[in-house]
Amino acid sequence: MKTYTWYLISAYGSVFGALALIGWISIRNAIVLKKRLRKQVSEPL
Amino acid sequence: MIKLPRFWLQLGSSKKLYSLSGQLLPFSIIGCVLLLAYGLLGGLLWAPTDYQQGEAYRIIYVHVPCAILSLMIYLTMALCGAVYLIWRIKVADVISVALAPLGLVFAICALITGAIWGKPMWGTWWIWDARLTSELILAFLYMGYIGLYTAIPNQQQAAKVCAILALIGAIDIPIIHYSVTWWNTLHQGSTLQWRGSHIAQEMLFPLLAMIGGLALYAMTIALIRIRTEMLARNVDQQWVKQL
Repeated sequence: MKTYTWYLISAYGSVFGALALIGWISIRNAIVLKKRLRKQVSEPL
Repeated sequence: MIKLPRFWLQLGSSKKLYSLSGQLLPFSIIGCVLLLAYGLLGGLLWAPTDYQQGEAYRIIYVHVPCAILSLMIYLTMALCGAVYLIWRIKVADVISVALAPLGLVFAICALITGAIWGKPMWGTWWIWDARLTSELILAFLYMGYIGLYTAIPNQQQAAKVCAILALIGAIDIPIIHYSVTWWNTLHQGSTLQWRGSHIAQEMLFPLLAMIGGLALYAMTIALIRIRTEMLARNVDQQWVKQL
C-alpha cells in the first residue's frame, strides 16, 4: 500500500476508534446505572 | 441579577431536561448517521485529489471537525460554568461534567490527526507552533477539569471550582482560533471562513457534512452522558423511581 494510505488509515482509525470507545463507555454506564436503579426499586433496602 | 426566560428556567429542572434529551436522541442519531455517511463517501471517494497535498489532504475530513468540536465543547462548558456560578443551576454543572471527557477525546484526536497530517506535509510530527501548542493547552485544560472534579470530594465545591477553571480556560479559545493570524505559524490558515472559504465546493460540502455529523455524534453521546449523570444524582427523587 502507498504511504498516504497508511496516514489515512491511522487518522481515520484513531478518530473513529476513540469516538467508538467513548460511545461504548457512555452507553455501558447508562445501561449499568439503569439496571442498578431497577434492582433498587424492585428490592428496596 | 438578570432573570432567565421561562424556557431556560424549565430546562434547569432535571426531570424536564431528562425527558427533552430522550426526545432529541432519535433525531440526533439519524442525522449523525446520514451526515457521516455522506461526509465519508464524499471526503474519501468523491472529492477530487488536492493538486498540492495529494491524497493525504483527506485527513482534513476528520482533523478539522475534531478541532472545531474541541473548541465548541469547551465554549459550551465555559458558558455552563458561567450559568452555574451566576444562577446556581445544577443542570449546567451536569452538562459540563458530561461534556468534558468528550471534549478531551476531540482535542486529542485533533492533535493526533494533525501530527499524522504534519508528517507528510511539513516533514515532522510535531512542532512548538502557536496553533499546535495552544490546542495542546486545551487538551491539558480538559484533563485539569476532569482531574479537579474527581479530586474534590464535595460536589458543590467541585462544581464551583471547575466552573471557574472552565471560565478562565476559555481565554485559550480565541488564542487557538486567531493564532494563525496573530503569529507567523507553520500551521496553515483557517480552511473555513464566514466570507468565502479557500476550498473548492466538491471538497467543502463533505467537510461541512463531517462537521455536522461529528457534532451530532457528540450531541448523541453528550445526551446519553447527561441522562446518566442526572439519574445518578437524583436516585432518591420520585421521578427517577417511576422510570
